[in-house]
Amino acid sequence: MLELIGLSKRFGDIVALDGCSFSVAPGRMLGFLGPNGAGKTTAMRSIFGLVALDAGTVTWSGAPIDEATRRTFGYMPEQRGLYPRMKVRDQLVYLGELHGMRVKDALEAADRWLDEFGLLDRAEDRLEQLSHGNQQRIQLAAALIFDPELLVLDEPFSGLDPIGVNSLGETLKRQAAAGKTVVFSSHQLDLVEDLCEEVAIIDAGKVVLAGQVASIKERAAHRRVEVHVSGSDGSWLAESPDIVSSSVQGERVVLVVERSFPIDEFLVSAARAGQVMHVEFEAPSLSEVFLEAVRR
Amino acid sequence: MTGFRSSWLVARRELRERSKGRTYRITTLILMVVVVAAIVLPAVIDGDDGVTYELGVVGEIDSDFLPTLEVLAGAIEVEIAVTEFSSVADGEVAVSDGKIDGLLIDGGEVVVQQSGSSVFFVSGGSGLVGLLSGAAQTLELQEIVREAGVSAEELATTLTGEPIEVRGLEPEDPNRLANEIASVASLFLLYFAILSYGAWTLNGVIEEKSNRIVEVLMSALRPHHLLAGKVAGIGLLGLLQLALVSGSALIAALAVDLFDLPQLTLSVLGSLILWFILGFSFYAVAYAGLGALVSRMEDAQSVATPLTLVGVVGYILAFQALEHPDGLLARITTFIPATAPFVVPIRTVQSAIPWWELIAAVLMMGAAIYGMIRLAGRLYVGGILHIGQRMKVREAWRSAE
Repeated sequence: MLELIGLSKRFGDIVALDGCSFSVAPGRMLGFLGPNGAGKTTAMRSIFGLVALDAGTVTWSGAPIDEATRRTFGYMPEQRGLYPRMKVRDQLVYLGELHGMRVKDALEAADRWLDEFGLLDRAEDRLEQLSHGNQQRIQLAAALIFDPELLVLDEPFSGLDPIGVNSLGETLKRQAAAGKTVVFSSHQLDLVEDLCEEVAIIDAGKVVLAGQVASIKERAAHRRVEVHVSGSDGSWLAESPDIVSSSVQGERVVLVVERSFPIDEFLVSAARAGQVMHVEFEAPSLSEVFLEAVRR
Repeated sequence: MTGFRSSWLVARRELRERSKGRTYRITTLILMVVVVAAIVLPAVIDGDDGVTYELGVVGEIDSDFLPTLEVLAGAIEVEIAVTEFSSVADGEVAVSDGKIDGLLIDGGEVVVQQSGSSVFFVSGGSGLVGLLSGAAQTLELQEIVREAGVSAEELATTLTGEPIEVRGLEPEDPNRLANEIASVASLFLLYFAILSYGAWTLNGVIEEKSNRIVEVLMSALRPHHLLAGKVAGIGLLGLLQLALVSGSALIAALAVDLFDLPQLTLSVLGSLILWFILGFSFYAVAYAGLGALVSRMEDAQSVATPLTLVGVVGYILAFQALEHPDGLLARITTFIPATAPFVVPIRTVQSAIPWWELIAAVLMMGAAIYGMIRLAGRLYVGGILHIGQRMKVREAWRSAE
């Protein structure tokens, strides 16, 4: 179990973290969300002791993280960084060894990951000879090579094409399924919704919303309604204090409503106005929950 | 995993990656060639088994002429090879073909390729002409003094004896030339090695910051292990280069009989290695501390210039020790950490440093390195994860708390 407890950090006048807390259990994958400058990177760096915290602690299995434990954590920083002129395989083996692997095991693991990412034939190339997307894959392999217990990835999907996004997503799912703890930050909320069961949303250095994606959405104050009534123009829509916002697009009506919105009555009026072609009544998307949570 | 192993892994990477680099290989090769050339070329150019003049002879000459000529030539360590020609025409062909340097006709006329003097060609024709004239003059002189009643032996004694006695205030040192060459070479090598490998350390630190791998590394090891490994790896690389260069210098020196091997070699090599290690450690750690203050290669120069200047001043100050190895300035600069690595080896090679000063200088240097590790090591720890604008020394110092 990874726990961040009451983390605070100021850089001069800027508050980066202001009592940030959340936790992730083994076998889980947590999407760490927040607007730019909310403190995601600082929180992730603090797991590796790369930030001198003003207050708070980070624990693993209930204990503060020492150097030996930290070496079992894999990290992919937001600013990617490897040696541009070092050969791909040498680079992975070096990082594996730094994390305590024996050379033989590191070599095997390096080739296994290169094979997994379809880059085994580039093992003897210098990193700088690879495309941007492939460099990103090597960066991920660098975080995975020593089979870490905890994987912390800062914006791992940025800059990847849809195929890359898909295969990275699969890799991360497999890590979680194998009992590893995975934390990654992202701005691609649809992707997070697809991949993660859990999210934590941070804003201005504080976690404003955390938990299972499904229950967060369930708990959301609003619901989204979309109905398509053939041959109508939306004039059938009765006013209601439960409607937060509405928009009429031709025959379509899209509403954001309170949870208490009387959907049955609404559907009856819709059916009276014409033939109902399509109905959606659902919890908001993660994007909407996110925007709600970080609304200033 | 111990910190020592982490540092060793870092050092090994530096060694492997950098020794593969073209810069390292080319500089090593160039240094080897320069040092070997500096030793071998002078020996070849004015080596003592040097010049032989080819002299052609035609017609009658005084029977004393050739022996006199050989005595004179022997005095300036030149040999004369004589070939007889049956006709002037044959001899002249040999001169114009360059087979002989000059043709002596009837003991009174010399034919050379081109008469007149030349600044560039001391050997060849004009040198031979000088010897021939000398021989002719000597014979004439002999004739005159014989008529005056002086015996040939007396004349020969006067001519070959030493007219002025030379007395040195200090005992003659057969190794002086070799010592001087070794001192200058040591100074040059140490200066080059310490400052250029120091700069490698600087660039290595900034490189890791600018390409952000430092974050990945710092998630696996402590900053001081990274620093120690980096300095050790680049230092070993420097030692390897030094060993290759001084090894080839030694072989070259042996080949041209420049050194008295055992005594001088050991002190030169010993002090080179010792003072490279000490000097490099001092400067490299300082460079690393400064390098951690900036995040971009473009800022490397500006942040390191003050330190490089200190090194250059140390190098310049060391020249006085070449001339006065036991002078006051040499003794003072022996105990200043920035200058000691350049000054002490010179004094050691010239045997001008008492043993207690040498030990004190080494201890002093050790203490200075320790102090530098504390000081620059802290700047390194404070600055290594800082990305962005150049950090002030005070900021880095504080953030290492």
